[in-house]
Order: sequence, then C-alpha cells, then structure tokens
Amino acid sequence: MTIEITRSGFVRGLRATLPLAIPVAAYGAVYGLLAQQAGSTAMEATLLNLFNFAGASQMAVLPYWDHPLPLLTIAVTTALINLRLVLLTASLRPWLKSLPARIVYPVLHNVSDESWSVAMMRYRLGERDVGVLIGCNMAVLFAWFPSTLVGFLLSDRIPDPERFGLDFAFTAVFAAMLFAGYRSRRDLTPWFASGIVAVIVWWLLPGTWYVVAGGIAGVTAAVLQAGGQPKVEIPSAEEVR
Amino acid sequence: MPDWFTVHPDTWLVIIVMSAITYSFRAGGYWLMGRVTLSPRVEAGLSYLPGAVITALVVPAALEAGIEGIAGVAAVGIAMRWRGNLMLALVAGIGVVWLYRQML
Repeated sequence: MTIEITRSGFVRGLRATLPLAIPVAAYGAVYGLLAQQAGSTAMEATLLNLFNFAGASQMAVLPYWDHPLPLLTIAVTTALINLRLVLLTASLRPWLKSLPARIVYPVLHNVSDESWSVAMMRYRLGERDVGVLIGCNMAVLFAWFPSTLVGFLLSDRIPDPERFGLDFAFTAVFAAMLFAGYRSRRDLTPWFASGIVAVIVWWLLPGTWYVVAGGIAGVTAAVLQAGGQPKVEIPSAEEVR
Repeated sequence: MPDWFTVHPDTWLVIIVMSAITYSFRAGGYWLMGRVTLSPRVEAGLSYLPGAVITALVVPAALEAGIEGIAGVAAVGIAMRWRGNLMLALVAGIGVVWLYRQML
C-alpha cells in the first residue's frame, strides 16, 4: 500500500477535528489567563506553544512559576505528564514507516492526544493518507494558538469551563473514538485489560504512567488472546463523519 | 496592559528543557518501534495499542468526573452507535454532564 500525503486528506483531517475546536480554544484561553496570573508572559507561552506544544504539561508547571524557576521540578513534572506521548507516536509507526524521516519527525512534533485519537480511528477504518493526520494536528494547533493569546488579553476572569461541562469534552472525544472503532468482541478483552490496569495505576502513580500501563496491558491481553493466530483486519465502509 | 514580550533569562532554559523532554517522547516512541524486531504475534497485538491507549485515557477520566462522567460516556456511546457523528456525540456527552451539574 502506498502512503501518500494529499491536500484533500489534510482537509478531511481538519474537518474531522473541527468539533474539537471549541473545547480546545476554551482551554487555550484558560491556559493564557492562568499563565498570565502566574507571572508568565505571552511571549513565553507562545515559545512553549511552538516548541513544547503540550498544553497539559504547560498548565501543570504553572504552580511552580516563581523566578528563579525550579528547573528540576518543572522537568520532572513535564516528563510525568508527557510520558503518554511515547505510546501515541509508537502506535503511528505502522502508518508512517514508509515515509522519509525528514517528513515523519516534524509531523510527530504536533501530535496531540485529541488529534491522534481522531486520526487513529480513521486509520482503523481504512484511512492511509497521512495528510489526514497532519490536518487533525493542525486543527488542534489552529484552535490552541490564538486562544492562548486571547487568554492573555483577558485581564480578569473567564467563566469556568467546568460550568459548561467542557472539562468533559476531551474524555467525550476519546470515548467517541473508542465507540467508533469497535469492531468485534475481540476488542473487548484488550480494552477491559487496559481500563482496569489504567485505573489501578492512576490511583497509585503520578503523571500519565496510567496511560502507558493501560496501553501495554491492552496489547499484552491482545497477544495472549490471539494465541498465535494471525489477526485478520476487516476494513469497514463505515466512516466517522 | 500585561507584559507581553519579555522572556525572563531563566525561562529560556526552562523552555528548552521542557521542549527537549516533550519532543524526545514524541520522537522516541516512533523511533523505538523501528528499532525492535517483533514476532508476527506481537505485531498483531500492537494493532490493539491505539484502542488500549484510548481506553486508558477514557476510564480514569470518566471515573474522576463521577456519576455524570459515566453517564456522559454512555451518552457518547449511544450517539456514536446511532449516527457515528463526532459533533453529535460531543454535544450529547457534554450536554449530559452540563445538565447533571445544573440540577445540583
């Protein structure tokens, strides 16, 4: 199968991720406001948006934002929160591996949980155009960047996103992608294994170890379930709109 | 008017360190998968990785949100199986959580 990157794929990715624009922008504004209140500047936040591009970790380090900044605490917090990204891009290997490194490695920089979940579910439904992944990534980026700056313009308060249930938006996206990707009962064993292990590790360990543990538990369960049989992937005509 | 353009001297190092850690994870997961040789059985099992990771993202988050979180996931599931439309599923899930909090 040839892997291509097309403009129409890019547009499909953008469109597929469009519903996430509102919650992403809401949290972008919250981040901008919190960063401002913590004594950070719009330039600092923008540099982090450009080069770190991982909002959860940027929010998590704000409580430590007192100069001189505690580098070690910030580094450990960043590592704990962003550990999950290892599994996200690991799972992209089968899709991207035939592309040259000079294309793949820049694309990886903008992979986020939300764009990855939308793109991966389309991959599962037979999508192979890498333009889709890039479009998904860019949709999140386009919603995030300007909204963080809006957060810096807000001098006082903005309504708590929790009031509107927007804190649930990202959970809802992931849940939707899970339901969209459900194929057969064979999916249930790895999913249950992942869910149970994730909850246990989430109680026990800080950061996102629980995502890593859940992912590994799910794959282990799938391998045990397969019992050496080659897996047959059944492509579906059904599309996530 | 807030301070927009200043970058504190010690912030430069923090930006570099955070960005290096984060990118090493993003690049590292992909890179690592190219370094290991996998049996066909493990390779087949790895096709379940995205679903397993997504499950691990959903379940603790839903439990943390409480009863409305679990109800919200159920609403998302019903909307997704019914229409397969992400926007509709988001509205349903967020709507249930919002309604529950309005009633309290």
